[in-house]
Amino acid sequence: MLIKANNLTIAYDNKEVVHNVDINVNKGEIITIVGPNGSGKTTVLKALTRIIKCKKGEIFLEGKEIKKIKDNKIAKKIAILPQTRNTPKDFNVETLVRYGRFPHTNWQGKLSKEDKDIIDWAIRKTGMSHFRKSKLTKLSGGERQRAWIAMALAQKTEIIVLDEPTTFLDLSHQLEVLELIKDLNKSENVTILMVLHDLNQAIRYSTRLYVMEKGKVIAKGNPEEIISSKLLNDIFNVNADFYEDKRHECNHFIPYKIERKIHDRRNIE
Amino acid sequence: MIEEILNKEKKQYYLILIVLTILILGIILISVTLGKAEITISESFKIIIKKIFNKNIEIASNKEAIIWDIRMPRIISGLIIGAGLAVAGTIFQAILRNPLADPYTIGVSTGAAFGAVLTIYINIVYSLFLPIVPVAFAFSIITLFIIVKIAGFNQTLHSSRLILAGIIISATLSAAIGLLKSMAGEDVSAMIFWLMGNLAAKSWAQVLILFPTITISIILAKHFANDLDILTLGIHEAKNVGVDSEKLVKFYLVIGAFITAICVSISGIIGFVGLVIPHLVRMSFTSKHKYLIPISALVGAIVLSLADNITRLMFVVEIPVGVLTTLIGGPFFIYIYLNKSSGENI
Repeated sequence: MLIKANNLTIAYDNKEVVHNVDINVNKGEIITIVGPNGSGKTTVLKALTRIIKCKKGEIFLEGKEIKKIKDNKIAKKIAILPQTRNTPKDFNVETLVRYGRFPHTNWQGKLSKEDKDIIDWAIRKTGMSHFRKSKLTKLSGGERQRAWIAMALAQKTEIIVLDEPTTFLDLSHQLEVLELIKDLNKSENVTILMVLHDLNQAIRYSTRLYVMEKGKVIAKGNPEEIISSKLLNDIFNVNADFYEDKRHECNHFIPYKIERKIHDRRNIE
Repeated sequence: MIEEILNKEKKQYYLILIVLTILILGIILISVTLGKAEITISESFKIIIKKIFNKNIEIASNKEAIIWDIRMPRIISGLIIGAGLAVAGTIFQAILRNPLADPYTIGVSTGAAFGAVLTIYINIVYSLFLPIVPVAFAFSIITLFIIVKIAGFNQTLHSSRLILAGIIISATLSAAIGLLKSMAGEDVSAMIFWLMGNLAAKSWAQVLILFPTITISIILAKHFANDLDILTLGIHEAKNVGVDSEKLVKFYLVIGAFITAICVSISGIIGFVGLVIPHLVRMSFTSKHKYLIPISALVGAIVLSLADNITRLMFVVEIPVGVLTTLIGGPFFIYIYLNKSSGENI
């Protein structure tokens, strides 16, 4: 097991937002955390990547408690693509990707032949060869996202964590990013842990899902089995029709009606 | 391909370093001959040779004193303070990730100013001769401590919290300085002169404080400069690629504040060098901190010593160099900003 998180409880200023969450990530999986806004998905991801501290619970990376591992060591195991980031103005794609090699270089930051090959590979893999010298600020949203993925790739880690990698992207770029993630998982055997908003995409691309609501994991497992009309109704208050996606051999749903729950209605009145 | 670019940049860097160093030596030699006392150029050089190589050359002792004990320490202090301020500016712009940051942003300098003004006040009222420099330094360090406490270092570091805390403390201390000024009555001029920032009347004792502290700080600052590059991505992003960002920011905060505290304690508040020089170097050469720090140091040294020469020589009454740097620096900065086609590096 690559990542094992037990009993995570996370609080912002004493207000608990995540309660007793367990998450396991096995090698080679694509794990997606889904759930409504404010359900604590990103918070869990932040805790797993040490950006925020947990109030309770433990996180293990390959059996070792993550608190006791140095930043530098972790950066060789886990690459992270945060949801929001500032784009440094005078950076070009290559510079950004080069920083991905930081955990592997010595304190002088000198790049070896191997480092350079990996940088070339990461840029090629993400289809950014044409944009190598382009400034990040001059790229479109999709290209910029690929540049950041290239940086994560250059870290050459076993796990890549992505927080809503498709947000702000148009349809084709969403598909492109998700296909890239799938390809990395298949061809490079990179384990993926991500948060997605689009449930249909989550069903199609994930090996396992965690569904969160109000800071708790309320369902987990095979996407086919856990995403049902009852779950959609319970969590998102929508009714949906399920169809079979024959091309990808998975389910696909179309929501058609928002159903307000009784206690919601009472609140409105 | 990467290799070539990196090598080219490295060569350029060493070339610039050499040119600037020669320029500095030239400035020292020329500045030392300039002044209101009538000392010829050859006499000046003789004195320098005599002092440095311990040769026995006959020279009037008052001239020797002017060159070696008045002009020389002043020139060298100017160089070191210029270098220090430029490096401190580079550091604060990097760790606060704010292009408007300078050595005075987080209020350490106002702490020093308050310490100095308080000392001057006590000296006037009780007719004492307390030394200004150590008190100013102590107050700047106390101020740093308070700001860091307010900004809440135990939580994740936010540059905005540091800046906010700095502004609050600065404003409070400025008011306290105003109070002391108004209480000083007729003797307020000593305070105002100190606050304006100047390099007059620097002795070898001050060079002895400045040289080792600032040099060591700059060397330390350059040592972890690669990590500073990565910090421009953001605190969390840097952490994600294995930089211990919180530790790094604390380390540089202390170094930057230490440099500022020493410079301000000795010379008062000399504006604009710390803000403009890093931008100038970044726009014209590179934003890599391992190059940016040393080159900013040398350019800062040159700019401040040139400015000091101007204040020393061009005016009938000597004006404080801090006034001149800001007076010229402001319009000059606007000029280069507007001339840079897109201005996107700022």
